Amino acid sequence: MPTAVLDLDLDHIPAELTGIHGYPRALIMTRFHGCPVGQVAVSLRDGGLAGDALRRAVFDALDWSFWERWLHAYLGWSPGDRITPSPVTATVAVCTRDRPEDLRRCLEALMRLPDDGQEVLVIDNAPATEATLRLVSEYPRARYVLEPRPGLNVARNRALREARHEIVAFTDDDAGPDPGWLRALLRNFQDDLVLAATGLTMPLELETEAQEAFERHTPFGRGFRRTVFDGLVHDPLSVGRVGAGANMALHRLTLDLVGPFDEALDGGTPTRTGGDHEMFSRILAAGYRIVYDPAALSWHRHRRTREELRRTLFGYGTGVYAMWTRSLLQAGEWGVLKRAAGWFVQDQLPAVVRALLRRPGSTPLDLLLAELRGCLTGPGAYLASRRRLRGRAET
Amino acid sequence: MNAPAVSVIVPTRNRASALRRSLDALRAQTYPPERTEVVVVADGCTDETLEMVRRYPAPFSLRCITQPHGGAGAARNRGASAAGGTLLVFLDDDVEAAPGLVAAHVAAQQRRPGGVVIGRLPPLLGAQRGFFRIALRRWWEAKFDALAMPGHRFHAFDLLSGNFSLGADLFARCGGFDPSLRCHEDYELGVRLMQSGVPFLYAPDALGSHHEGTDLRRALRRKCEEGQADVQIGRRHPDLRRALPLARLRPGRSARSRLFFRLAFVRPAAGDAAAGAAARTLDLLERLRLRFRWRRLLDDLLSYWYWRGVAQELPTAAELARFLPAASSTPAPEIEVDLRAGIVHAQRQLDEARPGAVRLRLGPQPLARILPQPGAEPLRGEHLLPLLGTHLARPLLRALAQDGAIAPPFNVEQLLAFCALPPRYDLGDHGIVLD
Repeated sequence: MPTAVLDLDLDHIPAELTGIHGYPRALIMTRFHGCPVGQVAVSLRDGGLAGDALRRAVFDALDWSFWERWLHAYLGWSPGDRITPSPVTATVAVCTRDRPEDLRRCLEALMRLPDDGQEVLVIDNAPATEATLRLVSEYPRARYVLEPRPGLNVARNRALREARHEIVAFTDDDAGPDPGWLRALLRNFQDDLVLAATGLTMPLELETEAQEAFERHTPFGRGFRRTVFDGLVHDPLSVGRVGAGANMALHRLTLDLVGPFDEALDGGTPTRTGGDHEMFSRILAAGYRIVYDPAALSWHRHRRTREELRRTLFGYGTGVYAMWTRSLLQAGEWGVLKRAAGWFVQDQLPAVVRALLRRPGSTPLDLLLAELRGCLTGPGAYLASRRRLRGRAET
Repeated sequence: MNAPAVSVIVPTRNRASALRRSLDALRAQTYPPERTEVVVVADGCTDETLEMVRRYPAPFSLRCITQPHGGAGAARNRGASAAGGTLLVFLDDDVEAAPGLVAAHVAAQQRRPGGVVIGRLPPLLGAQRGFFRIALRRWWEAKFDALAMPGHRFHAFDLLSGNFSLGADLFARCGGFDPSLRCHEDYELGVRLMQSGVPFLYAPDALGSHHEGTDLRRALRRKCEEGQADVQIGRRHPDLRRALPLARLRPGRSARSRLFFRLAFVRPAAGDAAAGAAARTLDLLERLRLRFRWRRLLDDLLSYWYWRGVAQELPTAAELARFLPAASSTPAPEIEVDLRAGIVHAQRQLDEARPGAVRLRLGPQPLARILPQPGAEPLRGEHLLPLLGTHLARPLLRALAQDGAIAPPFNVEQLLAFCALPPRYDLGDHGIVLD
């Protein structure tokens, strides 16, 4: 039972929804002056929804963050503004590995960004074929860089080194940034304490049950309120709410101030994920700020099959525990033990109980167990990954 | 007029090598050297400072004046009285000026003639490590980030003597620095400049990084001096007492901070011993990476040493209570501004009246009062937006909804329910009272 994903602007709400055949439901993301402000799920009948019901659903779903944004637009004022100008342009980096179909969609989206002189880098990470090279050659505005050492964090570090601009915006190859994405990310760097910005990631499609389950239980979206995460206030060990590497920008000064991405973490290593969050964690621990700004919108194609989804959740569990293992071993952050216990007692265990009791809306048990299995393998995965990295450095 | 004669005044005390570094940076200025003089004031120097300056190959006019040790404030006054330029740029001897620093001061002065221009002075950290290093850098960066907000309402205490400029005649007219203060002499000068209606300006491109040598022990000692200086400033400017940290920095919620407060006044010897022991546990907390506990303990220690400084001037809590004014003292002229005529109109009204306090309303609906803030510049139109966008967001949205400016299809009822929630900001800290 797929869900249609709709993108509506409050200024142009259609008189009614029609012609959405084959979808019993729709997820409507609403914008205000182009900027995402809310979302609501509605049921459709015969592929449509009457105008009254549509307007009621859309307008009732607006929360306080919308009204703040409305007021800021009314006043012509924005909380991130400084008297220093924001960076005008940036490097956009796509780290990819043998996914030319997704990459094509991503590059198409990037070509629709307004041309502010940005550089587009494709980091082809340890490819098995030349498909990516051939694809990128169709886009003269994109620069192809081959990074033979496997690992998403290896590729990210390469992008930071290759970039011609001070800000490097990262998008996953299975995501398609909105035309306003890059400018929205850049605006946040007027504040000198901001080393990173993250954006809102919405589902590109919800065609399969696995995609719906992903969006319901582990959505990329972190809400519609612009939030400043500040190392003086926010615990650097819980960075889940900060955002994700699929949609983030980093100041290149980060390399000097907090160091490069840890190449023992994330895709292409036994730890599977966690490289982005570990970087966020170090930025906060160093006393800097990260801004989550929903105006920086990107659309992500979630994994289509249940098996892929299980693997994804297994990977999350692994990555989080791998990152915590690193924090404990390398930075002596004993607080991770408290975090891990808190996560288990407050979230994971109750979710398992709800699933066993078959409560409505509960996360399916197999997904929860996949995540828990991932957690158990995380510490070992990190150690193995480090050994592998050292071994490779020696040879 | 395009290139006024600039005097850069650098007070220094026994730091010849640091001074050389800062002269090297001045040599690389984009501003014409023939329009620049540098006046070094050696404040009781006993090292090779004089010899170094005498031999220094400067493309600009370079003079060195000596005085018996009298403090940085006295040295700056001495330098200013000997300076020949129409514009004075004060730089500390640990500041490495970016090549455009002098030019940026001049440009900002020309944008707002007769003003005080505060430059950016980020720290270059040296031997500091760990949490303290992070905290120190943060303190400086956050200070300049606040100045960089559009619509920042300047306060006398925004003046930092390490990198700022003003006209030579203005400096003479206001009498220069108070040489009796051991620290915060810049804040005190800021008070007098603010009182005489001098506009303050922040110029982030007037960039001079300073080699920050403060370690934890020095930071604590400095807090003690600040406490003492703040009382002296409060004696000289009774209206300002309410704005001093000692009026707002009440002993915190925790038992530890209340104990420290009592000890500072009643049993300083025991207090010093307790503070010393607590300072040693900072290391332990850092090793355990308990950053928030570390931070709270550091804050308590800084407060303790601040109170110790206050107690040197006001030895008992009763004297402190007498020193502090009961409530708002000086009534400032208040004007009424109606936002219904439009934001731009309201801003113009503030720019014309420059009131110390304002009563805001939207048509017949009262919104809020902004109370007089001692030490702050009079209100300008620019100050309005950040206040309305943050602290006054709820009352303003409520008033707009009731005024019919927000109407269906928006869910007005729901909006009014949001607006009825308690405010997300601490209004009292900003002198705001909702009507």
